[in-house]
Amino acid sequence: MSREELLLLRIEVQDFLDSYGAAIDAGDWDKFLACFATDAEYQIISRENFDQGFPLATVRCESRKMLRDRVFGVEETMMYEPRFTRHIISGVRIDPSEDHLKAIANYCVFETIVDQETKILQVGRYDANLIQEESGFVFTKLHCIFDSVIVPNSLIYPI
Amino acid sequence: MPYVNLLEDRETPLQKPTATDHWPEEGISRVPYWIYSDPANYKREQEKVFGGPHWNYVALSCELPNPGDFKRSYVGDKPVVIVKDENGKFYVFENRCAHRGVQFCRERLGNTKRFVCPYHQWSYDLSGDLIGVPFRRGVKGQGGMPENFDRKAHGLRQLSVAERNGVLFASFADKPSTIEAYLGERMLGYFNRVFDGRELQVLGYQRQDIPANWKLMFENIKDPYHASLLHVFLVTFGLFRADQPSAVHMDDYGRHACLISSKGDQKATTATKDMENLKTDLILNDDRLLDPKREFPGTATVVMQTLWPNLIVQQQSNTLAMRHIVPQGPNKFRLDWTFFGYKNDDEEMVRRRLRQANLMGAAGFVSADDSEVMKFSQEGVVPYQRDEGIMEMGGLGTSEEEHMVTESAIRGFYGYYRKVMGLF
Repeated sequence: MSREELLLLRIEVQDFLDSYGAAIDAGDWDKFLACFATDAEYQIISRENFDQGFPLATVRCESRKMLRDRVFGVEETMMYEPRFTRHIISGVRIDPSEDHLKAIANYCVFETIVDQETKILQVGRYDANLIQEESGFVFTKLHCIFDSVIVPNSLIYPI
Repeated sequence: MPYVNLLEDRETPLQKPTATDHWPEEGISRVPYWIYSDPANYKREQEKVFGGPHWNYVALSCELPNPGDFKRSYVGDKPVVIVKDENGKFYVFENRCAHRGVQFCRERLGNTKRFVCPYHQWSYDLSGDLIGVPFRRGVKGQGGMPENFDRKAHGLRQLSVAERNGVLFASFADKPSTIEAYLGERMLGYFNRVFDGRELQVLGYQRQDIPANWKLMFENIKDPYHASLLHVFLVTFGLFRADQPSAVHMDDYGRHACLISSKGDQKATTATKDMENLKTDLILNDDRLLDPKREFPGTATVVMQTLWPNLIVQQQSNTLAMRHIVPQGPNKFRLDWTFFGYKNDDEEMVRRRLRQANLMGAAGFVSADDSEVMKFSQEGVVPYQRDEGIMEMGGLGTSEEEHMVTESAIRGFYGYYRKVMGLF
């Protein structure tokens, strides 16, 4: 792959990650779910567990259907204080291989709850595998590995 | 400069509670709101509840498999270190250098031959005894510690330690009762149900900072009334619901309790008409999320055990966890979750536990409801120190019940709390 092609690909991946984050921030769950392949694996896992090889994730979805169940929980069953998030995604690095595209990026997610000042909800890195479908990129894997270990109260929306 | 006794001025207001310190006349069917935020009451809890003759959960012994392994933990809000020595014996001591109080152990888990305080390099062996004081004899004949300085008298402050089937407890009391006597026969039975001697295996941790008083967490797991109403996920999938065979059991003192239930069907009954949140038409898109497999004797599919003063043992279907309550001032606590299984679990069971963990923890389909509502509780009661909450569901007493439409375990808890705290 030429230098120009790599550069272009990295910008395309950055665009995809930005629109993924924007879908969550907008609460556009159809758009969020459309970012995943049907057999995608999604995890929000603390760096503490990840680095020590503990498999426990704070959120673990093993398919797009399980992600749909998570979204259903957020929309229908869980009780929580009204809030919204804001994603800042940067430092995108890509590693194209034969069958999939590996992407790593930093994220910072801010959370704003009614009547409270905005705070940092989570800082971490995305570790993703992407494939190209007709509609564009989709994740086959997205691990959100968060540094902060401690969750301020609850984690409601996907990261 | 005129002498001002600042110390005296500052100590006076701390001696007496800042709000009215009496308990309502109605007794344990009421809970006064000042106990959730009063700073003097909080200090007294650290002394009487967490520092008293009780066993506090600190670790699972499988977290320290090798000699020299250590773990940072807490008893109440006091940082402690748990260590396994060369002979396999467990020690728990304060994470506080005997010299100037530095919290010397900064790693969550690790292995060492000795502990060295970074400030003046005082060193301690694995049992917490002071073994080294640099420049103790002075330098070139100058300085040094007094001749009569006794190293043995300046070790790290030790706590009593008890282990029961892989679970480690510590106590600031010199000679607490055995852990078995402390749990009592009834609670020991439920404890043994999960901790039956099989080797345990940690699956991972979760940590939350919840902006609420620690007692709200303990109450929450003694309160089966809310579970059928707040937790749409639980009631919808029949994991815990008022119309299913259920029970509330306690120890003789009312300090420990169990909420017990058996999984039922996802259907409406006459009892579900009050459960506005019940959704009978809800089905999971990926039912692997909930694929419970019976693994414990008896008919119960969920046993949530609260062990005074700082532990919740969670067994909901196949998700097992220790929830360790760490108070951080009157208005905040940390909830340290240790999810575990058994060493001999097959791959399928490990995966099942990891999937079902989606119900629990900071993002849990069920538990997130609780961390949210505890914040609402704290914010609701703080401005109303002189008011009180009412707990009359299922009567006014503290008897065990074979149903879950009761607040008797919360009343039992406050009955014991009042005795320990001397609040009458």
